Amino acid sequence: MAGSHRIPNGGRVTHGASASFTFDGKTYQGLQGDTLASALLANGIHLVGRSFKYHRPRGIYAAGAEEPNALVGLREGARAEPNALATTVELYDGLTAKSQNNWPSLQFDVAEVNNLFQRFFSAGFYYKTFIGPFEKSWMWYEHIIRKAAGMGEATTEPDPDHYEKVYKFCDVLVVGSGPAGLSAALAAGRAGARVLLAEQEPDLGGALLSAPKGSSSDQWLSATLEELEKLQNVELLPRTVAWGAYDHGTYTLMEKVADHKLQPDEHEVRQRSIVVQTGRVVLATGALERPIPFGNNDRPGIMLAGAARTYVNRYGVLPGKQAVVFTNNDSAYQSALDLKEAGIDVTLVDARKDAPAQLVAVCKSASIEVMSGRAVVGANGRMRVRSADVAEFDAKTGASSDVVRQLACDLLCVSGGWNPVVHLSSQRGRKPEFDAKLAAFLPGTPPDNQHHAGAMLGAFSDAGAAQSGFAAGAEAAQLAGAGEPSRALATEGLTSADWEKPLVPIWDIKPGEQVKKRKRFVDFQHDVGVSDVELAHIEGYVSVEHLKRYTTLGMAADQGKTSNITGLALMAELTGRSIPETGTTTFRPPYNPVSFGVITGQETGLHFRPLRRTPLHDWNLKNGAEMINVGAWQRAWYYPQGGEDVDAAYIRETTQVRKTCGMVDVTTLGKIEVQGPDAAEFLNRVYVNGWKLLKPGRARYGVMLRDDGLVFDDGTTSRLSDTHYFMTTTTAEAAAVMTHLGWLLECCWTDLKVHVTSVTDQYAGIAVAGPNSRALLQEVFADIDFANEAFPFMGVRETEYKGMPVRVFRISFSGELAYEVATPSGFGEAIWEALYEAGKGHGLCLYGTEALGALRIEKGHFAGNEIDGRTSLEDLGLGKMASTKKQFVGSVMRQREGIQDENRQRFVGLEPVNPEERLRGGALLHPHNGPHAGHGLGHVSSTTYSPALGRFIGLGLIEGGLERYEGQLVDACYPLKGWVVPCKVVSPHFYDPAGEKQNG
Amino acid sequence: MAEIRSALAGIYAPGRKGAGTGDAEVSIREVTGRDIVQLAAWPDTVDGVASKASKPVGTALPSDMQMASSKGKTTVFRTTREKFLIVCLLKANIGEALRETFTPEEAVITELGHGRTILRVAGPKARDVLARGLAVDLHPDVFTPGAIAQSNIHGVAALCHRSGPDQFDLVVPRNFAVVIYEWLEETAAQFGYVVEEAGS
Repeated sequence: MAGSHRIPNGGRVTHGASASFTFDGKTYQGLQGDTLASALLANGIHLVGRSFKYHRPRGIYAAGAEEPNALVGLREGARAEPNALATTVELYDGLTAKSQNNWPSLQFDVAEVNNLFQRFFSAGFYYKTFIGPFEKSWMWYEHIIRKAAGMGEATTEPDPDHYEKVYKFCDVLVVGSGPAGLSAALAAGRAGARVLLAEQEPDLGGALLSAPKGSSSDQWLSATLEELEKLQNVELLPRTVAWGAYDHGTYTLMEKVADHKLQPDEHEVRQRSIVVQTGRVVLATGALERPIPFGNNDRPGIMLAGAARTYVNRYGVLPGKQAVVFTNNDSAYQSALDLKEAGIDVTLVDARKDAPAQLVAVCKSASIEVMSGRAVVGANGRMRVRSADVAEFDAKTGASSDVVRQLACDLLCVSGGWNPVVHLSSQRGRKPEFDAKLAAFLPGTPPDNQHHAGAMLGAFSDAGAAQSGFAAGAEAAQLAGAGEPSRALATEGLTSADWEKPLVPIWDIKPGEQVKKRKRFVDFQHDVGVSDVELAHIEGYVSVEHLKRYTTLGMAADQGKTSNITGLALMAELTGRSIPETGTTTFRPPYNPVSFGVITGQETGLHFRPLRRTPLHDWNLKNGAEMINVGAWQRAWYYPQGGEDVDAAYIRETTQVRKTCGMVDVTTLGKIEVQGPDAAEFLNRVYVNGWKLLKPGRARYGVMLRDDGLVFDDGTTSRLSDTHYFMTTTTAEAAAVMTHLGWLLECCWTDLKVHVTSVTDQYAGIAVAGPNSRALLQEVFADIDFANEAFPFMGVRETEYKGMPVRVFRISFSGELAYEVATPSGFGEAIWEALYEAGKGHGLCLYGTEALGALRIEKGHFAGNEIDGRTSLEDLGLGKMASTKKQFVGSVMRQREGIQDENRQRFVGLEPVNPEERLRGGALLHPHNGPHAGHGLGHVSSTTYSPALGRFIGLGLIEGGLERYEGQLVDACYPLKGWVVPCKVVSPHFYDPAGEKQNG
Repeated sequence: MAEIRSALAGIYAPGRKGAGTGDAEVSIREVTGRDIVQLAAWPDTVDGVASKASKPVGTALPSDMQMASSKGKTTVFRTTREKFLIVCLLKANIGEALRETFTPEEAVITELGHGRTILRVAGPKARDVLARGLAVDLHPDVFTPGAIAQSNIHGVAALCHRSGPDQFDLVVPRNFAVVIYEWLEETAAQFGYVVEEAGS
């Protein structure tokens, strides 16, 4: 038999299908259908962990997602998972689990010494104690404290499993598969709606699964499931929790696809995120039983009454031999009867003076002693409950007497009433409403497209829940555009008995004067007791939100599923307000913890964000390029030869470009076709300079401003015909420029007949630069006359190479004689190779972005480092470029006083006094030998070693620019490292300032 | 005509892959040999352009942005009120024909054939694969054969065309084609899939 405490053939587990597992290294046997918690209980194990703060021994308290105690570490190595809820972990053969937060062992935990000092470890203890004596003391203590208090540890190894996201669409989403949820799905399914039903557990049935096997409800359940499975328009999603509700009917779900296996099958994902776009939503999320705080109410062996019933009926496990059931409501009577039926001795303690007569009679005939008007005031035993101290209790005043009887027990079941699961309604901003009769918060009017049904509305009978679910499902389907259910609901087999007597609300059992004072826990997971709530009250906390943050009540991984309502009720009592006046905290996603894996999905590694590859990507990799990420792109950074590092490579590449010629992949530049009868007028409005006189076959450099008058982007645009222009943008701003142009045409200048189309993907771009570039291109593209007069600077020519169309632009970013070649992307590699082969006779080298940067810095061309969203035309030395004869985007705002101020930081070149000394990008410019304080006069924006000048150089922006500082010394300071580099302010045009090379 | 190098040339690998061994429930194929041309008219010319273009294009142009029009191996998508994306066989030389048909005052023509990669995902599980990246309801009653959606997959802008009952064509930017191809392979692995030889 799988476990010493297993009921022979009991429960809904598969007897005969045993699963071997280990807990803290010891091997046990469980059954298929068990959770880890039920399998542990079947082996007589209640003690499963140590508490967060006091390291108190803790046991299994619940049977589902509300479990506050039984957090365990699962699996080993890369698949290790901390803080798994033993009550929701499905058992599988080979499962390994370990307890958390103890040393050296679960049985003997040294840190339990904390428990002796618990009166000092009250709310806010750490913050109060470790805030001094010095200003930064907390920072010093924090890491030690964080280590001492804690949960499990996550692995640092990469997760070997796959996760994914799925989008689903439905008319009706049903959350929960108890009688209400199943009936809702049935109604909507019978009405022909597209239905999705999400159930967090592996089996559908909800509360019906906690009834004894063979109950009349089993037939209803199997008939209902059979029908639902046959309906083509209904999709059932077990192991799927609906954890978030968002705007416009969007819900997020998490499906545990393979968590119940040793490891996922080959190609199987472990977990799946499901984003559902819903028409309507039926929440049938049920209710969670709540505890009653009494002395030592956290001892192993104490659990919710409904949970004990579930372990007996669903899992066929005896959680004890001698039980005390302590309740303030009718529901625990059923638990008591089912426990008794399974062979457990049961005594029932009902806090109400007038216990329900019929139920008492049934108990009596089942030989269950019922003690009414009594309460459990304390539990005895340390590693396992040994007995319960029972006192007389007056529910009206909350007063209790001395202990009148001590009931020996190894299982103490508690029921303080039921809290409807209103999370997904609350997440949508709907404040729950307090129902005094049930002493519970109900969800209130359903928000958005929601419908509510079943126990979450306080309908606690199975038949009542089913009826409310069916009605909600039918209404939801109709509102989603489907018809009426083809058949009415049959509820034969479902019980319809409601509670005989109302519950009496009990939020705390204060011990009588003579009774030993023991900690009464509200939030088990964060070790928050009644005394902590009282302390918060004494210290002046009034708001329930503040109470939560100060005491951390409800802030653990369980998000206060069993503690929130009790905590706020205590607060209400202490402040003399009603519970509705005190109010609730707002629930936020997720309802249950969600793994990072499922949030990330397939967006890992190179797929973290889509990687953009140029048509020359493969060639570059094949030919040894070191790549660098530039925005979404990967570009060739440098082409090392013989073990060169980046510095050696870019200096060699830069040198060779200036000496012979080089070739670089410039596909990443933004490329936009501007077409239409009004294209010239359009360009005239977006660029600062004039465009109407540009002739076909010619290119022009242009600068765009933002609306606020600062520089947006620059690039070269060529006129291919009267109505057709080819625009280039910087790599960084390509998408922003495209969006901006589209917006101007769609929203501002709807009268212009112009279309803009991104063709960045359509064309490969190759720049060939250096004195030999003309001869090289002439050899390859023989149809074009490359003579200076025939093809001058800023000229554009079109030709074909072996049937492949090619455009050649004579433009230069390097300051050298240079050309850019554009060809359709599919021909990019062929053209590149043709140039590469022919280039061997012309001293051609390949160069990457590092040399590209060095060349442009030498030439004094600004780039993204300088067009940083803060610079104006004047700052960049382009003030004269702006036309005075026309309006353009930014033309008015650039006249603002602040932008025209001559004191603004302006573009300059920088030469370190020591040519061997390197400048750092971002360094602040301060007066030479002057105070090195504050924001300085400006900053260094770009730096490089210049092979042409044989020294380090830089570009920067400085107040007043060249006019004020030319020839003067300033200090480039890098305060993070304490570096100070004296340098001279010079013209940014270090190389060929007259432009003889590029124009020659 | 010179050979066009596919954006997937470095990675495309035909064969039966992923879970299972029998007939795969998903197939992936790069559709090659296609030209893609954009025909963009103006608000006051678009109706006339649409009817006039049907002759050189060989099929009526779509009247809305939800459904494509197709004939043989030519498919036309209306991507905005004024823009049409014409996908046809390379040899049709459609760009040239359209430039001869329309003046810039009527419409402008942009070549986009090298800028897009077409991936065909087909089979009984094709919809399940795409649902893992495309936030569009692909239920056959909603997204019927011929329907198109301009959305994104796995962070990449994509046009999805239901080119058959169980067949979808994805038109994606060339420079992101490898991303989508890798994503398709990874996503389809759980169903078992076959990468077919690229072709027309």
